[in-house]
Amino acid sequence: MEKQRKITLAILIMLVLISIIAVVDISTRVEKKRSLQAGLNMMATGPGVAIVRIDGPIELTGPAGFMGRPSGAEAVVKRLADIEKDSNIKAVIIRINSPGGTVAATQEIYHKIISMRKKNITFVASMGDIAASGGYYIASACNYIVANYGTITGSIGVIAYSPNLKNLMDKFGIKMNVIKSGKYKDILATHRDMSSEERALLQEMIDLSYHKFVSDIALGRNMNQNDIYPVADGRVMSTQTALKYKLIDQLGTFDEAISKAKELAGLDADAPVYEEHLSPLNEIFSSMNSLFTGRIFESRFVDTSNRIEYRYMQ
Amino acid sequence: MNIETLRELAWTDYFFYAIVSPRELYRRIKQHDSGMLQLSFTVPVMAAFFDVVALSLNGTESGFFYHKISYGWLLFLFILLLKIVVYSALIDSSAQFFGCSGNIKDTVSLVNFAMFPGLMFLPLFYIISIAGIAPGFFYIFLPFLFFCWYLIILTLGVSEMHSIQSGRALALIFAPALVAGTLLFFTFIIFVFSLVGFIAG
Repeated sequence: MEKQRKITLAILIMLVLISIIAVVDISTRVEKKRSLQAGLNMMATGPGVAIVRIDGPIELTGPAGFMGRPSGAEAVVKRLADIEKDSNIKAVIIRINSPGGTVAATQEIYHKIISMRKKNITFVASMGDIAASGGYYIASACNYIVANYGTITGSIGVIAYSPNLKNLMDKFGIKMNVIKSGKYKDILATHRDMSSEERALLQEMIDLSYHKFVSDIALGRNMNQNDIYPVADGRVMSTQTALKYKLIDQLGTFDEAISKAKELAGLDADAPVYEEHLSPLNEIFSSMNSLFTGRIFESRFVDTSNRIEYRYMQ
Repeated sequence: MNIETLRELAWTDYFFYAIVSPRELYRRIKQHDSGMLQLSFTVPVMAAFFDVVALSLNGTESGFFYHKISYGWLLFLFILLLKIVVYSALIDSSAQFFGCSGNIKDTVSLVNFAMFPGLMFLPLFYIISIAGIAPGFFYIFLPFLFFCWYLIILTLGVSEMHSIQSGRALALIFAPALVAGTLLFFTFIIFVFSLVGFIAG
């Protein structure tokens, strides 16, 4: 009996010891890995270049991400504000792959870049597939613009649109009941023709936004507005044409844009590049968010709102 | 349980009989020694800790280990204690439903001690993971074996407790498991629907 109890006690002690050994073993491995990662991270510190990505149509607030994570122009401005606080960031690459977007959202980003330029942070725009209209507006705020050979750019102009469904509704006998406080309250209504007064009112708004667009390009690019107006008729253009009209500074790739940013900011060629990283959890939930809401298609195929936009209509 | 009692090592009998003779284990439980119930809870405390360590052995090394071994252990323990209380209550209710007398305190002690052989999983899995002999497979396979062992102890213990056949004792154990399993299944379905709704919202 005594022996049997001692054996049981020995088993219990063995279990406790093994658990302690296992914990120490795992802790040692964790610490080894941590020190290795710390060693790798050491290489990625110090003055460097940050990357900010602008993808897709620009809106002030995009679909809310996991745990209320902001997206859209607000997220870009927030990322820029974070970069502004980081003394290690001497230059920023704005990687643009966008056909433009709403006026307010575009101007939010433009003005944030201009204000940061005043604090001696160098901005280089790198254009992807498309950087037209509002996409180009944002690029023009940068000190230097590098565009890919195949990039579609230009489309300097403003657009507002709404479908006229009057005939269709008449055909189906649908009539709208409109109770409004003023004669322009249902401007851009789809159930009737637009009046000449309404058209003039909207045209004035469009013109104001358009002149603001051109004057901001001139400010950002340090150009004369009169040199911009001849090509600011809404046309899209190849980057070779854009280079000819000095709307961009260089033809090149994303890597060449990074090198240029380092050069302009006086950084070493091996200076670190700081990408924006999502936590794995956020990445999973961001992709699931699009999957469940169908918003991956929304911006391309569904657009029912009436807005004034700096946007290239594809 | 004072120092003298601890030195006598009589308390080790519960662990010993949990491995070699579940019927004898229950007879010991029935004696209601002082501190027996409290002693039985050392098994789930260790089991929760061992589960976390085994999980960490199987996973990648990261700083998250320290959270797992501290808060994670407490969370595992809380869930395990909840399971023990709920499952013991269900077994007890099931026993009463089938005409046996209720004995929740002894059932809790029996459920606790029945988990003891499962603690051997950690040393075995540790050796396997160090040797690198298909740890992924054994991480699934060994707990299954230990679960079968757990069921055998529980069945024989319940059989002894209510003086019934082993087959009937097994039915007593499986009836609440079936109810709990069905409830868990529907809870899971509701959880998935809620999660999809939350993400899509």
